[in-house]
Amino acid sequence: MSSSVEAITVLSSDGDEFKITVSAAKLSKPLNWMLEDVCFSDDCDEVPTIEVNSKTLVKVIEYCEKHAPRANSGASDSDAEELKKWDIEFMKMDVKDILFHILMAANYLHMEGLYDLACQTAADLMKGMTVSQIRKIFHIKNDFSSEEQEQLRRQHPGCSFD
Amino acid sequence: MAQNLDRLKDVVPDILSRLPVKSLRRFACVNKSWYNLIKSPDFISKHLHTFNNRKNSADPLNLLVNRIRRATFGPSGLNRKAFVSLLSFNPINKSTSLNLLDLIYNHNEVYHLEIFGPCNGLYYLHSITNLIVNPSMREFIVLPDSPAPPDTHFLQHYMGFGFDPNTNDYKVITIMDTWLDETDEQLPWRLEIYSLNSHCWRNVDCTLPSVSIWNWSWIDAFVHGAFHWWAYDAAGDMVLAFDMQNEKFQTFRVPNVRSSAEEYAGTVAKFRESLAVIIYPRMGTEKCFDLWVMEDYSNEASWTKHSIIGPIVGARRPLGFLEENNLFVVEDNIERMVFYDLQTEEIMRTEFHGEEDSLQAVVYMESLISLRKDNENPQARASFFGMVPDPLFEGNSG
Repeated sequence: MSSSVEAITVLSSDGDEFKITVSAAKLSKPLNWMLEDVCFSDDCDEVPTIEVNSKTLVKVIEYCEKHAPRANSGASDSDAEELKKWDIEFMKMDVKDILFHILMAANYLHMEGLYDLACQTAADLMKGMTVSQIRKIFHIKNDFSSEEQEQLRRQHPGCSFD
Repeated sequence: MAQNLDRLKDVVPDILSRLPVKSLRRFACVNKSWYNLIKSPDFISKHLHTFNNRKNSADPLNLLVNRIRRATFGPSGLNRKAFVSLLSFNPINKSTSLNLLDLIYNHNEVYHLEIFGPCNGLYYLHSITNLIVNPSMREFIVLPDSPAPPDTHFLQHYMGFGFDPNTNDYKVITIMDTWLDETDEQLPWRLEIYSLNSHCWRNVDCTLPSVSIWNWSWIDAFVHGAFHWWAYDAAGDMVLAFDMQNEKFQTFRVPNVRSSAEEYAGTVAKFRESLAVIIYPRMGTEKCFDLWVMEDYSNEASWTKHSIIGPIVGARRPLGFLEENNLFVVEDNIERMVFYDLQTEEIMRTEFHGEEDSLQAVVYMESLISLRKDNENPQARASFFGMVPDPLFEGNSG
């Protein structure tokens, strides 16, 4: 690949074009492999598609661009503290609408930092939820038969299926 | 959308492994696949590792603590009781809350209680009644009495608690002297091992090294698969080790780390998965604690003076380390629990205190390991207990 390339263009699963700097793309292993691919030489027109929808990809790129300087050069403790605060603000989002999509995108793009952050955020949000709330956000149906529920209630006094 | 949901399934274990046991016990009722996941040995071990190693400086510090109180309530009026509680210290506003484990002790008079562990989130509570407890699952099991030979009694006994990965079993060991009731004649020392899998004690025939155990510090050191005691013989200080897997004793000589046993106290400890000893002066209002680490386990030549902790004003004796938080825990001269930050050297004093030298504090660990088997009658072995705010703790009212 040519060293003059500073940003690359990728397509979302919805077909929208996004620009991501080379240093930010390095946060993702699959993107990094793409960078090393001949496809990004100056005379190549092919734009790779990332199987992530536009809404999610915007957020993923925002995270990458913010974290790239620290990931590439290392940073002081005060930077790390600032970044932690930024992460908390960044993660203030709806679980079902966007957080789960970011989680799956981070998993697919092998982005360890974002994946850990999204898992922990989801866990913190779920911690106090009821069983029915969990079923609702994960689109899960209660598949215990009434006999099984009765047996579990006997084994685990106080357990609730609602 | 269907494709999205399929991919969400792959990440569910990673999300759930970051949840406290209390939430997971509830979420086992979501559906069959979540139930099977939460009960599976692979997930239980993933959760143990992930949940207990997550770092968030804003999280409260959780410890399992033990202290004797001269309680004024109860049918018999004033009596001594041992209380085991979950203590949460908020490092931001320095507030402390204390929740009692509502165990059978609260209804009996107790003169001594000692916490061993945690070992994968399980604790062994040694007292007139012996229990293995999983505080996050709210489960406990009462150990049977260890069978003493007829017409004998004991005067001294030393306990240990650990895990045998080979048999996936938790073991309590007791080393005890034996005396004939009739003639007061001393019989050889005995070694008894309790196994959680079999739920019974067995006598183990083995020769005990001729050393004396010093059992004052109450700091646990189950490390490298062995339980350790601070011991000595005519030649000086040593560590006595009992390997939980091959059930054999070993001794390690400790280098000449203290000038005199009258002036300096020593205890074993666990530091960064290594066997360690802490040496500190018995007297004084400002103490330093020498931390020695055996860098290459069982190699006596590898003892290294890792650091000098302190000076800590008002410190009396060490209680242990909270390694995830980089803290050293000590008891001060008025029996309060104090945190010392190993990095910033900041001292945080809590409102929590013991009485009559009883204070003990160990790290609190959450674990899904259940003390009972699913297919058996839940009442047969393990029982459940509740937790209630300690009515005698001043910090709870705030």
